[in-house]
Amino acid sequence: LRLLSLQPGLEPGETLEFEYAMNRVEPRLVDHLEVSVMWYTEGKGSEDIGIHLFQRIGSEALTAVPLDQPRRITCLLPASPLSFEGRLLKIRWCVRLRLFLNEGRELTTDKQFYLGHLTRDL
Amino acid sequence: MSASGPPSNPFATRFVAPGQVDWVGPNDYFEQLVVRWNVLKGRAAIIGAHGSGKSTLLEYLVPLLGQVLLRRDAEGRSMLHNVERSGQAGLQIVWLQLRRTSPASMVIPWDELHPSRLLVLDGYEQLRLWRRAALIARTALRGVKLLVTSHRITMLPTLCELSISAATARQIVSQLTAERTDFATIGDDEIRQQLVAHDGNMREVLMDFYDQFEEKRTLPSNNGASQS
Repeated sequence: LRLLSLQPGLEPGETLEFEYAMNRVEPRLVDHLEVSVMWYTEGKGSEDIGIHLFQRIGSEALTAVPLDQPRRITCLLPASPLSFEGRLLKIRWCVRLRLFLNEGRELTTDKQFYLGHLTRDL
Repeated sequence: MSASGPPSNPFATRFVAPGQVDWVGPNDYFEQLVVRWNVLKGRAAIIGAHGSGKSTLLEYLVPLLGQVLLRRDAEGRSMLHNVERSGQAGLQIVWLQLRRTSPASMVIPWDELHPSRLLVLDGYEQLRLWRRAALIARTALRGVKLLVTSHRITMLPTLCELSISAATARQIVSQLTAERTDFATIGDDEIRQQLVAHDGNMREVLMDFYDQFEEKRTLPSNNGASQS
């Protein structure tokens, strides 16, 4: 999973572009893939999550081309919530891939990025 | 799972919430609990102080008793349940969770509580005294099984009493920091002192370690570099 922008920070309204490929996975084992662009909170209290983009790709569509061939996705980023690195609370954006295999196993990977200028507690 | 970006605090809620940390205890602990649960005919209480692991125990024990039909907080909101850990056999379970901030008017979904189903009530002591008595009587009359967690002895038989030892606390902290090369090891003495300072409340101990981690953390900048 690779972000195609040069910096890990993107502005609201900018286009997020990323690509992914799957290596060392046998096509016959693949059930489906979930691609999400999402934010989540992390910290000491209750957690929250928001999904900005969600795609579910079935095994037929996935295996129509070799799995190790990169696939590109773009999406327009929203105005909020902006990334935040506080002590009690952090808001983090990421692209998340969840690959579900026939045998019930699940492989997940995240690639984080910042939306807006990173705001911090001082 | 792999991830990129700034390191997460190993003591953040997502890592320390009930069910996220592996249960620390003897291998056959849950087998023994299920045996005792059956001896008590499916009506019992788990007793322990704040942060002693009652909710964590439920995360591991409840799936062994049956299948969770619904899980709600005190405001009636559905709560996520770990489907992977959800049991398929045994009882059908209604699982409610109360907290100190829960409204006293919390509604018990009696329509869902058919005979031989199990009501799991996490935070039983949050109910007013008369509601506790009414709950026990009404579930008994309906033939509903009942498992509650409480800080004090209840009118139900006690399934188990929980407390956190320094050795258990050590193992929990070790689990959370196992893969963290960016974080100095927390010593046994420090864990013991924290546990004493918080009267055995592991939740508070982990929150203190969360703060310590934040104090030492280097913050990322927008271009990916780190700065203190």
